[in-house]
Amino acid sequence: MSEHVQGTQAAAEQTVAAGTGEAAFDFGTATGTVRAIATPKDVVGLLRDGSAGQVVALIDDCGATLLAPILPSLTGVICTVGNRETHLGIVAREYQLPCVFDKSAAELADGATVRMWSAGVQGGFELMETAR
Amino acid sequence: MSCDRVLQGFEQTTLKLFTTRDLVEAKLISTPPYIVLSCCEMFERYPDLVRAVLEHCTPEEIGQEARKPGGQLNQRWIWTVGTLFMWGREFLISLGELDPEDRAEDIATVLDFVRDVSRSYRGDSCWVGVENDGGIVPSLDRETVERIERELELAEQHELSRLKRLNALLTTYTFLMGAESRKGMHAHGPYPVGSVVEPECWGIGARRQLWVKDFSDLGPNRYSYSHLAGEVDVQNVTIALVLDDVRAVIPPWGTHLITEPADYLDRTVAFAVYESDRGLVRRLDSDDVDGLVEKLTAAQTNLYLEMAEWSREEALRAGAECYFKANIEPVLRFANVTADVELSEVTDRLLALITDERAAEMLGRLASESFHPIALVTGRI
Repeated sequence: MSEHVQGTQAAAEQTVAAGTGEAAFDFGTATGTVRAIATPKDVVGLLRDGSAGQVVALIDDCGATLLAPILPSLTGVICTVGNRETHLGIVAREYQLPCVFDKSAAELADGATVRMWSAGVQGGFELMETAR
Repeated sequence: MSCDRVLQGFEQTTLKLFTTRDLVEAKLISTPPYIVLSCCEMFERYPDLVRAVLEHCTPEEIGQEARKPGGQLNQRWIWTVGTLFMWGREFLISLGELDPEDRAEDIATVLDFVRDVSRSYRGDSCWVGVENDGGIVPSLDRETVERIERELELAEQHELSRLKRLNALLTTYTFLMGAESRKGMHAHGPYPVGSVVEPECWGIGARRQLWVKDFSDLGPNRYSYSHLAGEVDVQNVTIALVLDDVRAVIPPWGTHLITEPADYLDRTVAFAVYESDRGLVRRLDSDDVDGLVEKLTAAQTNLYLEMAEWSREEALRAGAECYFKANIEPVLRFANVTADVELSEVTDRLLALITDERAAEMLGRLASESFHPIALVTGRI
């Protein structure tokens, strides 16, 4: 878990339900910072500045290639299309990378801290909010 | 087998493919348009290419060759030769380029070929891509399995980490080299092996079984963009895994393991990694694997950076080239047939017609409508 996330948790966060769907595999939980990735150029940016480490990638592409060069570095992936049988599901399992196919059309903002969870084939995520 | 039953088989396999996953409209290379383009190329060109191949070797020889590890001639290839050819027919009918009654002799030539190659490969009467009840056959011969068994290495923790890194990287890498397709991966098994670890636990139906994964076309190869993998000097890798208490299945198109639990590599008790090329060439040791991972990582970055700059047309042509060549060039090479496998005027002519939306609609129709009946050719199929 990243230092950023640990710090956030130490501040006694509370959670709000955000999204549910399928998990690529039963990964348990994972927490990171949401980063919307719309194009390969976004991936090239993360690759070049080496900043993919704490990122939960939010994508609408269930292929295997969009995130290929940064997959080993990511904390997780939330994909708004597809299912666990897609190419993305295959590579997520091979990398053992937490991955949720969101069916809820929940809105996530860049920079939000999110906790992903799985329970068998079910998966989802919760937004983490720091208590004021 | 009747033509109706053959068509029904292709329809069922196609439905299975589309109901187990969504269409992949990937952002790096969108697959539906290039699948349509390349399948049209396949329908137009396979009959003559198959006839050329049959002048040099028999379907039975090809089926036996497809049982060897390493390279693209395998069950995935057999599946695609028949299935994607028939998709091409449906696409061309949909585009108004072909009447359902057209080219009956050509269709019979290709389907007869697929039937005979399938029977030789499988060793039974089933057609790959038409009859899937038999699923994947453990295609390696006994001699190869025994060699693997002798060379298995017990999966110590640090070696398992190395294996996981290689396996994951090969998966994304072959997707990338395959232009978002699964052309570069193949899985088969299980194999009964039985003298290395706890012999009583081994065998078909036993708790510990050997499964094999092949990854192909890793270095510079038949694809025009593959020069970007210039440093990768191993063309095919075969990974043999002895898994403990893992339930695994492989889809009829033979590309990958679907396991329960998903973290099957954590249940690896022994493994071996090979360079392969129509057989096991040499076992790769830890240093070899580390070197390969380094080269593949660099090549993956090179490929990605180049692909990220491609225009839509460049991406579609690359995808169509990959899909077409991967599905014909391996058998041409085996048969020692020299033929033009570059995209033809078929792609040039159809490129402007196949929008992303139209391609997705045409692929969707494959899974929702019956294939057009084939005009009977007496004594064929």
